[in-house]
Amino acid sequence: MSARLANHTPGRKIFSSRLAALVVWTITIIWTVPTLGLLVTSFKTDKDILGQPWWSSLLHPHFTLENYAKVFLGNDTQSLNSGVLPYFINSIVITLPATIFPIVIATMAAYALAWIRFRGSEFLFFSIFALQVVPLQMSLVPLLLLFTGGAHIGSVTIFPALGIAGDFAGIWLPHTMFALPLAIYLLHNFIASLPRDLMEAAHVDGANHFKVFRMIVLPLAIPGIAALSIFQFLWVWNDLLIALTFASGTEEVAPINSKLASLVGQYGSGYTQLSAGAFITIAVPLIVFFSLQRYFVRGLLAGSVKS
Amino acid sequence: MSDFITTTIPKFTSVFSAIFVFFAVLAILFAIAGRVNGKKARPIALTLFLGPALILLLAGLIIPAVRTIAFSFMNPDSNGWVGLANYTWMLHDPNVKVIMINTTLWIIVVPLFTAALALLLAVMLDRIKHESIPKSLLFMPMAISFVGASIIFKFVYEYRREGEVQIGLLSAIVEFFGSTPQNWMLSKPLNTFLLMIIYIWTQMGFGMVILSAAIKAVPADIVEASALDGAGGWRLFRNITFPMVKSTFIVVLATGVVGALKVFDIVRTMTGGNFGTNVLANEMYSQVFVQFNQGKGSALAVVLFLLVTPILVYNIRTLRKERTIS
Amino acid sequence: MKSFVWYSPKQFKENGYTVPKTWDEMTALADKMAGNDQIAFCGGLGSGGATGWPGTDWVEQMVLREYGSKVYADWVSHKVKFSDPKIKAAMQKVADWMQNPKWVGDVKAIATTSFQDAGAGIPEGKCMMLQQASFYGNILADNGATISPTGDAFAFYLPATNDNVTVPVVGGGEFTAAFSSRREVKAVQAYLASATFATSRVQLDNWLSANSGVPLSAYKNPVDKLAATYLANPKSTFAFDASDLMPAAVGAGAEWVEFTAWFGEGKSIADVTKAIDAAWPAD
Repeated sequence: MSARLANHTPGRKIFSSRLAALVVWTITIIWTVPTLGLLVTSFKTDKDILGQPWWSSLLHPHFTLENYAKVFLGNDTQSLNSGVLPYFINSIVITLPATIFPIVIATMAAYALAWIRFRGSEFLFFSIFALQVVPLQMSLVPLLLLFTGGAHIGSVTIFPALGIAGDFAGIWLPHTMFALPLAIYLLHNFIASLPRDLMEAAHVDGANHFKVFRMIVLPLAIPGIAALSIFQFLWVWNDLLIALTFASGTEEVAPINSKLASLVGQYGSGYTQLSAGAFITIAVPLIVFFSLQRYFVRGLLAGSVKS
Repeated sequence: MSDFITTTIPKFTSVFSAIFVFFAVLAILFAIAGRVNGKKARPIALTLFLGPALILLLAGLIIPAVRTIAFSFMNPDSNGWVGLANYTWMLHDPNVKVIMINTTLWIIVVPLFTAALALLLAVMLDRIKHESIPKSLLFMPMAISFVGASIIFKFVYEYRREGEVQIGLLSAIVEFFGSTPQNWMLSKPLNTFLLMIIYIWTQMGFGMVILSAAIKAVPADIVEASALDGAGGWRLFRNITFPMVKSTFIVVLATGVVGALKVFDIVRTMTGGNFGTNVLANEMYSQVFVQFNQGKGSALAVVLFLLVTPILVYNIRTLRKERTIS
Repeated sequence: MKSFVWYSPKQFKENGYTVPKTWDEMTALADKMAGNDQIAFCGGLGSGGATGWPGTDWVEQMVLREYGSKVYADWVSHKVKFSDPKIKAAMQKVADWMQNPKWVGDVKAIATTSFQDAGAGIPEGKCMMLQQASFYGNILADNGATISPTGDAFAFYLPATNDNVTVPVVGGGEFTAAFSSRREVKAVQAYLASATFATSRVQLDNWLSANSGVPLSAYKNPVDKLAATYLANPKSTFAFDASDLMPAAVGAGAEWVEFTAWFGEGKSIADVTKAIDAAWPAD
């Protein structure tokens, strides 16, 4: 906009862009300093953390990697399981399927809603869209009961007890379920906007829905799928509620974010290891975010801005 | 070392086998169903494409939501009916009153402040060089979990008793300006607003990015025409830019309300819901998973749902309008 | 084992303090510390979603010390209410101790300090004593303190407040629960309750047993050994952690919330006890 306005009102442009730069950069600094503080703190020695603020440590640098070693590997030199490392692995183990499953299932559903004509398709689409705002809290308890006890009407079992509570599958499944409404909605927007001629031409050539889906829709929807995958990845990695509810907090299945929450909570060891633990936890999403930001933004825009 | 390997390898085998089985089953079903021709082809394709999603939505969201409504009329163990007791409890309990006031504050202050700041930044960003650097830095907290964000802000809000070195940024700033730092998490009602800042810090970037895109989508000729007419900064914004991005602004507001209603990680990590900072979603978690009262917890979840219903209705109406236009 | 006070033997030696054996000796020592501009007691209730639990420990210590097992048991079963004058008096005793600004400095800060950080200053003498359970040694050791009777940190027994209750001890613990009465299950249970199991488990460290058949030499860790002498003492008046026995709505709910408000917001004992009694489940 500034370039366009420049021809007509050069004076105002210079003024407003300087003011704008000042405002933007001031807020950016305010926004970034807290994270910087955590980063610096995480390299300080135990005693330093409580004895000296992090900004004065910048003037008298005395940094160490000890916190990271301690948090990652734990105190027991015999076992690698005493630190956060197993939880870090759990996070990867949870996040991969919990990202792949809902995206695949949602892409299929979005295709059906957009390109297979059937009665009630409109109603179904609205219902799924509406489910987006149903708070997770509404489903937690019954879903947990479903996993442990199944569902019965009288003595008839309509849903078997899956026995997967406290198992990785018991975390993948809720993540998949809860991700579907938003994923279907966003992918539907994306897939429905593919050119109609292309689809019709393929059908005329004798391709069935499965072929169209594989040969045309999937390749063309890749940008949307990629964007949504990043979004879902961040969501799952950063989730606490599902992790607390469905992964009992043990090193067998609990993700690092819930471990981090417990470091602050009842069984933790206070501030000293918290900063390094927090930075390990946020490092992965930050790397994903900065390297794939372009696609991520595109995904958000696909669902929120109508042009 | 060896125990780590013996516990880690099975984890990865389970991941890769799960993913493999998932795709193998899909491939086989696709191959078989792809051979069906004629009248049955469409219903089979429909079932296969839509079936998995519908079953998961039914089992994961719809049936549980209905059961939660039922549980809200039952006792703590969900094996006997108690009528409206869990709802009347909410009306009479003084702690719930605080929770309701706080939740209301959250859903008013957070979305308005987030959206306003996001809009301001989106407009300003449009007028500066190298906008991508501040944009990514402002957007970055979005990638950080609420727990991580809370820990970051624990180091900002940290308070040491008077006379000791203040290691918290906020306390140090207050001290620098010659005032006495307080025990921030105890100062009612300031503490609730300090918690809101954490949420705004993580979510503002989202609003900023989509508003910024919306501003860039405003047609150049309209802007130019009104600039020729002599419209200056504020008038240009009020008469041209804002009306054009209004619908996006409302999307940001609505997302903010839904998000603020569900917030629980921040309150749990920062204060545990103490000192008058408790909110609905955190109390719901405590009731069900700490105090084992499914009745009260479910009733709180139902209230949460009722509070988002207006947004639900609004969203559906907008979507319908959009669909009839396009 | 929860009836411990953590202190720094090194700091005590430097200042010429001795470990108190009675309640009066402890308060006299605290006054002396206050006179030397030292903070006698540190405390922290902060524990994320479980904030407040250390406060329940303090009240439990006092109820048991003042009135013994019978009242303690009646309190757990709500025959004696929180608003009972006895419980209120015990809480007042806690207030005189842990809410005494002369001894603890900033009372309200106790509510926002995490229990882990509360004792972090003990080795350096930033505060001198902290009432916490035996496991607290692990936290101090994590921060680099040596735990021994002459080291950076160690524990002494929280003295009785009067002679009517002998060696009062509050503790938490594990239960063995059987979901079947098959013979092999019972055999396992019997084994788990035996001195043989207890001894071998104790030797793995970080575990305490009240089983009198466990030799003290089995304990590697000096704090656990000290704790075990109190647990195995036949004269001990032992009480299980009350908040763990009360209904969750109280023991993991109202009690945490209200005790936190008691410290952090200066809520009165009358209001705190009234609110907890109101939260007690009806049936």
